[in-house]
Amino acid sequence: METVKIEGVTLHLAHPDELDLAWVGQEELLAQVLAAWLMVDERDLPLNPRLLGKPGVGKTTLAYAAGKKLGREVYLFQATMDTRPEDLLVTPVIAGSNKIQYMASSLVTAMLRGGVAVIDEANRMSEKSWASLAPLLDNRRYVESIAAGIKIKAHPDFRICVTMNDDASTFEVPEYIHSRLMPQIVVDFPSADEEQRILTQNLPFAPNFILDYVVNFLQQAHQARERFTVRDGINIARYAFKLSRSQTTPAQGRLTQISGQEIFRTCLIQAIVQILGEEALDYVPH
Amino acid sequence: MSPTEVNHSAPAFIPFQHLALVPVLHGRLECALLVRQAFDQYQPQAVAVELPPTVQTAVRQAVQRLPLLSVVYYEESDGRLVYFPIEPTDPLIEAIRLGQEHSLPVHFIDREVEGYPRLREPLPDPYALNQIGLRAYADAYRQSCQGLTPKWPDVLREQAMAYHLGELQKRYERLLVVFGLAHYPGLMEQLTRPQAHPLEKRKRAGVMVAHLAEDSSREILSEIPYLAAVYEQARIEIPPPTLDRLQLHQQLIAEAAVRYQKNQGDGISLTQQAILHQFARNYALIQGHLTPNFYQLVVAARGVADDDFAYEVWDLGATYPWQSQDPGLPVLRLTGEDLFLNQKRIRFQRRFRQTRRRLVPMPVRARPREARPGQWREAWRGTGICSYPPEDLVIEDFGDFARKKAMHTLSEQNRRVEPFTASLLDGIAVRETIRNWHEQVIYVMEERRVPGKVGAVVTIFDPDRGAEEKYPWRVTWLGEHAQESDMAFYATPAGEHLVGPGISRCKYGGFMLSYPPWRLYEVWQDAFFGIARSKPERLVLAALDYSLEKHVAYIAAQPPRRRWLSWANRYGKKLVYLPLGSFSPVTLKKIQTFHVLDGQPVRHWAGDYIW
Repeated sequence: METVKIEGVTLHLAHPDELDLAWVGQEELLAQVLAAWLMVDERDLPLNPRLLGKPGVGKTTLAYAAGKKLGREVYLFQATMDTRPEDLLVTPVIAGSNKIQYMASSLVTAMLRGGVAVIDEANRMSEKSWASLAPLLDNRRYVESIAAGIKIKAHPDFRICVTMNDDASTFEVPEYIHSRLMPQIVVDFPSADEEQRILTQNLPFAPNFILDYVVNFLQQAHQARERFTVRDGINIARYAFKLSRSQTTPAQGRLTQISGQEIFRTCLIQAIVQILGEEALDYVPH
Repeated sequence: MSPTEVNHSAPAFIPFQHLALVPVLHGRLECALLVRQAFDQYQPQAVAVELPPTVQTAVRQAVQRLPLLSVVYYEESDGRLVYFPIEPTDPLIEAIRLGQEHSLPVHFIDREVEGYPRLREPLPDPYALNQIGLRAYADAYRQSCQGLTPKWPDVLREQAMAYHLGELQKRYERLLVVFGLAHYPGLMEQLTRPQAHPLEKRKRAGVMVAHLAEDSSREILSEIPYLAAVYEQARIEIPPPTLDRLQLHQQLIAEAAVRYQKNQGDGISLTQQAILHQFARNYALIQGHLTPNFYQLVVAARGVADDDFAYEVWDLGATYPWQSQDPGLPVLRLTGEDLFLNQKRIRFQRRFRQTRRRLVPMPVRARPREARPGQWREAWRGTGICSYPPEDLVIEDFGDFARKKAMHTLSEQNRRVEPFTASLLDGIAVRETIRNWHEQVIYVMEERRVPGKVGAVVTIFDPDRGAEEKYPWRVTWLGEHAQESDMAFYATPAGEHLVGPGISRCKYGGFMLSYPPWRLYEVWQDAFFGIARSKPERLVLAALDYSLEKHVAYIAAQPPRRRWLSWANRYGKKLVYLPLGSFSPVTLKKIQTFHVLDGQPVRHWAGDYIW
């Protein structure tokens, strides 16, 4: 495990995330995240974008893809309601021979290595945890770990981005943090064409008419302002495909294309009901 | 050179024989200004522009109508329509206009072509014109084109233009020539060669002029309509004006912030404005431009504030003030889709450069508008008003959250950690023990339970102590069902700011939530609370009186007054203070703004107007 020594304290660093995530469509959003991070002069400061949107629209994927586009290491930190300041910064653990070992969080590792930190679902964190990030988000660009008793300065290449669901849990982000998390970038539902491309990217093995069906379903739901997202669409298509496979016996495997589509349709409806509930049937394409 | 510093000394044209050449980008403010400056510096005897003579009569008529906007259009032989919007910031139009205003001959020297292909070529940002001057700008472009094979329809057009210019030079000593930058390398080459009389179509039937509808002017102008309007006002100045796009953007944002303050009651701080411009600048740079376009500005506005501010920026930016109810011409409606998306049906004859126009829709939701101003206000009756149910849910959620937060604050205050002596109390405090590991002492914690729960919740956004009362409307509302709290509040009056038919937008100054429902009795008229000196004080008194639980949450910018605490004592209750700043400003804004509906049936369509 890589270590770094700061003010006499040895910090053990975390590993970057290597995920198979690709951002498809909505190129403008990617440009917006990169624009927020751009520095035009060494006296300039990068902005700390806040990605907002409904669960499942691809906020984390967007942040990850933007980090990768910069060619930097990307570190994801999953925030929860009970994330404590030391979880965010440095956690002391008791290692062998009764010694304390200081573990840098993925955020602090990104700060030290000049990587990109993505705090996922950051709206869930308490005010106390946010307060520990306040100096990092302005021109001071450092954090202070009470547990290790050290001040950690961010590398000039360090960039941060937080994702937030636009639901009631955003009550917690206090004003002084809110003003430091700018600009907000709203991730909306993709267009039908983009949705089709996202589904194809995620489910390259699924037949086209399943994807068309799911895209039609999602677009109708978006028009009715339902909260169903492309993530639900991927789950529906994937589950329907599995259902159809498990129901197709070798004899049925030789069925004609039309009756094969009938089986898929039945499976899709079952998948929609099981994943989203009966009320989602209102948007099933005819 | 700083971004706002303009190079005035550089000539605004390129001299060549008896010509002053002004290669321009279509539809850009900087290029229109350049033509204006070139005209002033060169004092030409005649003007020539890159337009075919077949549209001459229609274009001249449309230019005469300026500042009213027009569209010149005609049908090609295959039935496709070609549109040419006539707008003040187009440098070709500016040249024709100046020629007409000074009673000079204006020559249309381009070759008529059918089915001209739509081209997209990289072109330098015209903002650089201010910094480096026309000659360096045009030469840099010319150099970047070296080695590229010219396209055949362009060569024919450039040959035709060179021929006409050769002929015109025999008649004039000083001729101002305005044409697209893309033709600069080709035209310079053709001008050095002798040209034969080109074979070209001299007439086209069915070239029409129409007035551009107001809603279309918001969508299809090449330049931001706000900038076009500023240019239109400034162009008559002598000497020619120097307008800086970035300064105009700042002006637009600042004016939109004033409108936002008026319509929404919230300001846009200078920090927000600075971040907006920084973000917009970066957004433009990352996409290869020097200055942000309208779309990027609107996205940046949403980025630092919200959809409402983005709407104000879009609405103000897209306003072109010169409109006419009686244009005297047929009115044409065009949308962005007509011009740019449906390329199978429409194509351009000219080489319009896509430096600003985009295929992406503006990130603002279209708002339904009144058929005529004041229509919704006149229809407001104000009897049988009711709330908008989705907002009721939000406020109930907020009440629950505030109760939990207050309890959490109380229990945090009651938690104690101490070194282990005789009792383990409520267990080992692991965090404190590790933190002090060097002392080799175990720490234990004691969770002292807080007796009682939190009942009523008082939230004060604005105590309304100013000379002018901002929140005069005082109401007591009872819950509609068993899960909804009673509420007493003071707010801006219903029926004052209407956002839809029967839908009034109001703002709370402060409110009090009390659960269970159906117990509040006219808080604002109740003589029992007569000792209250202010509206917040009356709400606090009512909360203490009606709360069934021991604690009352008090959310405000300032802590509760001492005498309120002693009242709470007398009631046997406790006020738990939560600073307003510890809540998300987005949430507070969402809660403070609410809508009053003019009767239950309005709930059916309210969702189309409230978002």
